[in-house]
Amino acid sequence: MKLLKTYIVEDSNIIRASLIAALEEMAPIQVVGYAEDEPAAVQWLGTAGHFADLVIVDMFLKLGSGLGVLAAAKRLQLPSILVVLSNHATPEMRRKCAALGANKFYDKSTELDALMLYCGRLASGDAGNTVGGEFV
Amino acid sequence: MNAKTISCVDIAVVESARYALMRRLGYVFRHHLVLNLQPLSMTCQVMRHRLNSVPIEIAPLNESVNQVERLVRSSIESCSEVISWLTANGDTKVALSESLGECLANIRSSLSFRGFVICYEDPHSASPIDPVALREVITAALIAIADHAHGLNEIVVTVLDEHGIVEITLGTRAGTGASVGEQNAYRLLTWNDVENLASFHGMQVLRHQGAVQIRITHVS
Repeated sequence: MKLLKTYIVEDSNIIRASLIAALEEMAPIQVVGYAEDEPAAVQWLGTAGHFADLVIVDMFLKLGSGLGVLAAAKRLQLPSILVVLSNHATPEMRRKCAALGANKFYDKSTELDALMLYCGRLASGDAGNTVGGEFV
Repeated sequence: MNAKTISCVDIAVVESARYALMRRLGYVFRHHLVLNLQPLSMTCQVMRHRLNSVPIEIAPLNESVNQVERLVRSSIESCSEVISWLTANGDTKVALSESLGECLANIRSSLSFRGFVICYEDPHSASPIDPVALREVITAALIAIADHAHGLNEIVVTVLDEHGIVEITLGTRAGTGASVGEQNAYRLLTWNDVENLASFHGMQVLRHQGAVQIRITHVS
């Protein structure tokens, strides 16, 4: 099973550290970088030579927003899988993220298990059968 | 300051403004409440994973248990902070810099999500301020500015602190990017809300050329 190169956009130190530790221990994931705000994330994602199979994006950031990161990823035509992990899991937010090209949307409070399962299956090439993370 | 000194203000409109402010801060409170609980959930998942591994290694499990203990303690602190925020009665004064910094930190990511940037240089002021008064008035003013920004998306916070008078100015200007309106909000905060809250706490609010100035006198 190949390691899934993953980039994290999350402004909370404690959530980011726990997420990275959990992802790397429980799924075949290698976190290749992270950003706390939209400009830093967009700069990293837009830099030649930087690549991530998977980008996990929070919505509320220190500067800018996850919506801005998704919009930039769409503009840059990144081949990465885009996953939103947010506390702001309203139907409207899910719709906005879907419109900006997000592949999955997980509620940070209730769908962490589903995110882990998705990452594992993504690495094994079987993500199509994953339940959870839908937009409606 | 308290309600006894401002009998001219109808307490009902103050309570209305305060309720609207609390409703608007719902996501901010939620963020603080779940901040340590979500990592706790992640750590428990890792712990379960470690318990299911063969053979079970004790050292990594111990590490998980220690992490759970730390996160539980932090969660209790977060919950206590939110409840203190909601129930504080203003008996204790704190340094202006500390109180203003807390207000801005609480609201920053919420405003950032709407496209606003807060520009602020800590004045390093130790002047004693009623934190309850400041957090209500400053936070309401910031939300009101964002609700009525008309395309301006940088909020510049400056502080003048001299001769027992503190003036906090919230200026607005156009920055890069664009602000977005609040959708599905309980209701927009009005300038009347801000002024009523300020009056209740014995503060003055002046609006001039897009800037909002909050004046606190008798600071000592």
